[in-house]
Amino acid sequence: MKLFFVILICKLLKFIGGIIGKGSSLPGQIALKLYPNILSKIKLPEFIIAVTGSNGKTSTVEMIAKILQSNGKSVAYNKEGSNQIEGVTTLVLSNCTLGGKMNSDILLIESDERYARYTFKYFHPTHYVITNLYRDQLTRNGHPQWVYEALSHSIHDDTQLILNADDPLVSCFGAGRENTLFFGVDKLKSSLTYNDGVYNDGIYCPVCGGRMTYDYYHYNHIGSYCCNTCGFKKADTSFTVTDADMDKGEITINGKFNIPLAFTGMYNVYNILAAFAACSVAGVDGKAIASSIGNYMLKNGRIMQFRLGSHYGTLLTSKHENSVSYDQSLKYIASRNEPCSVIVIVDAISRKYFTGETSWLWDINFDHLNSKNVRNIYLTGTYVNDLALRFSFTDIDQGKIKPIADIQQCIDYIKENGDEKLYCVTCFSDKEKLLSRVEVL
Amino acid sequence: MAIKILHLYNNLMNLYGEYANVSILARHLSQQGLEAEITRTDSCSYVSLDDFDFIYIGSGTEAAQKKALADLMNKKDEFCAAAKGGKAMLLTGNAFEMLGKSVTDAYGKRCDALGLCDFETTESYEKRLTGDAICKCDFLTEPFVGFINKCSTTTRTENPLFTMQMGYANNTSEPYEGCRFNNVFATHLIGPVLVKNPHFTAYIIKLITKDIKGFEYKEIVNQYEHGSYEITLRELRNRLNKSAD
Repeated sequence: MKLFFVILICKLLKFIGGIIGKGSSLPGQIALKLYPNILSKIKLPEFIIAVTGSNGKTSTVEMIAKILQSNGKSVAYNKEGSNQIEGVTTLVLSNCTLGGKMNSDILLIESDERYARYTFKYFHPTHYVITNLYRDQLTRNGHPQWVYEALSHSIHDDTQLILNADDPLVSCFGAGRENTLFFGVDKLKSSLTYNDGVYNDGIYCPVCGGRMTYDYYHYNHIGSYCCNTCGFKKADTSFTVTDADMDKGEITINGKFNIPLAFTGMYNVYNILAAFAACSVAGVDGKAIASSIGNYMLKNGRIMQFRLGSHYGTLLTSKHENSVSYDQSLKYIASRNEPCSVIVIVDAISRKYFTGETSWLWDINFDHLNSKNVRNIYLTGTYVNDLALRFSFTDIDQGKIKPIADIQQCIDYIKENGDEKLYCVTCFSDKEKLLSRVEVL
Repeated sequence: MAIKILHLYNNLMNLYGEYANVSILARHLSQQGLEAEITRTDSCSYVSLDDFDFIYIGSGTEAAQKKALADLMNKKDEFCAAAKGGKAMLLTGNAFEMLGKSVTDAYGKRCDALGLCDFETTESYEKRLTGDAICKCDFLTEPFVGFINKCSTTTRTENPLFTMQMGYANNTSEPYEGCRFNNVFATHLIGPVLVKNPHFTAYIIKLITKDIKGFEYKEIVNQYEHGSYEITLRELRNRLNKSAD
């Protein structure tokens, strides 16, 4: 009887929250207060797919949902991205009957990497996709190894892991387990023989601490590695990008499924591959996956088009405190070959908490912008000095670098000057400061 | 005239952009008309500590710190003799802990440390202590700004470097942070501490150039460094005042 009422309360709160535009974690939070182990009392669907990792959670989940729904399956997932236990509780309770039975075929969960152990205490995912572990929000996360430890407590024996074989630390989760599936990207034309980041988190083996050698890198420490001391190496993959033509914008999975890309960044390739792996396991065939995800434009607002004066622009939402995310955006800009200018905004480092920490700027390889097609680099926001100082240590012609502290003044200046393509690189916490001042297309 | 800088464990202990401490030092030296000769290595076996004017070690994961410490213990006597002889050094993040008697990990395993100072450090896997910091020291009028990111408690530091105005101290029973031994400066502040605190960089430069005959330090204000410091201090103070209200 208690279950009935708590579910009812949660559904009502979710409904009211939807009307007044309130967040999606509060109903779950209240449900958990009333009934702390409620998640263990719900009859869950046969497939429970969880996705976690430093980058790509939201995008991967969105693509998995799209593929499954296009193939006739009903999916409940946390599209608002409330990914701690409260948000997951809201998701589960608002999608179940008052008797406590979830009525979708598949429960799909984006899970925060540090707090997953609390969520998966009450039920275990049947499948668990782990995308990558990078230096991400270290002001809260400490470091990737620290997150690894926290995440390891969320993994149970009855869960099948689906891991990124190209990330050495993530691959370690597969140690001593039998049915783990790996996904990875083969050597491509775009593969590198060196690490193109400012730092190298793949230099030492996460298992024994010995030195590792890479056959190739896709970006940062993601690639094909082998430890010279203990022999730990990239695992054999069941789901593999076997070929990619980035000029044409198409990848091939497992040698036969061609998927055209709406966006050619390497992290998009990994997100699609992870989604392909999860959906294959959920019983969708490769051909059907390929046709439902081809040219898919993500709806989560991370890439947006805008106009400012005579300029057309693209916002590449990146994450402050996450050098890999920045590096990917910068490389994408340099790869476009069109004359352009770049705006970097660092104003509020986080939307969720306060910090003045800017060490992460030194982990970003801004030299990716040392490219002929890049004309001007506008720096703006509270931490404009930190940005300008960081750029003064690049090989970029310092004449291209234009720090303008005030965001409005910076945007006005760009509006009055030139008509070249613009790219804006900034975080969720700061993107509205651009979008509110331009014409969003 | 070249100033010789040793960046020890430049890969192993480089978790928060620490390499920039050495870059900024080299730039400041060049502004003073001096050349910086930088040696970077992940093992002290191949270097003689005495050859250098300045030694820097940054922060690493708990595992990396143990690995670095095991390596540095091979040169324990040489390291301590250099410190006692007045060699200038900076240890940031958990490199600071290496100066004490021991570091005990979260599972209770105790590692002997350099023993230059009497303090002891214990790690925990329960909670990470992270937060912005404003720190006062007794040798500079302007405070330091930065960030603490650690999972340990350090007890019995007799010569702390800082009194904390904001942020985590060595332990919860006193407001002191880091330690100083002669010209060895050690703090749990992470990342590019010298980039964020130009007054301290100037202090270090004066320290390592004081014996150069005929050299006179020139005051140089680097606009972006100064701006970064002022704005960070302003933001942190605003935050501190807000939480006091």
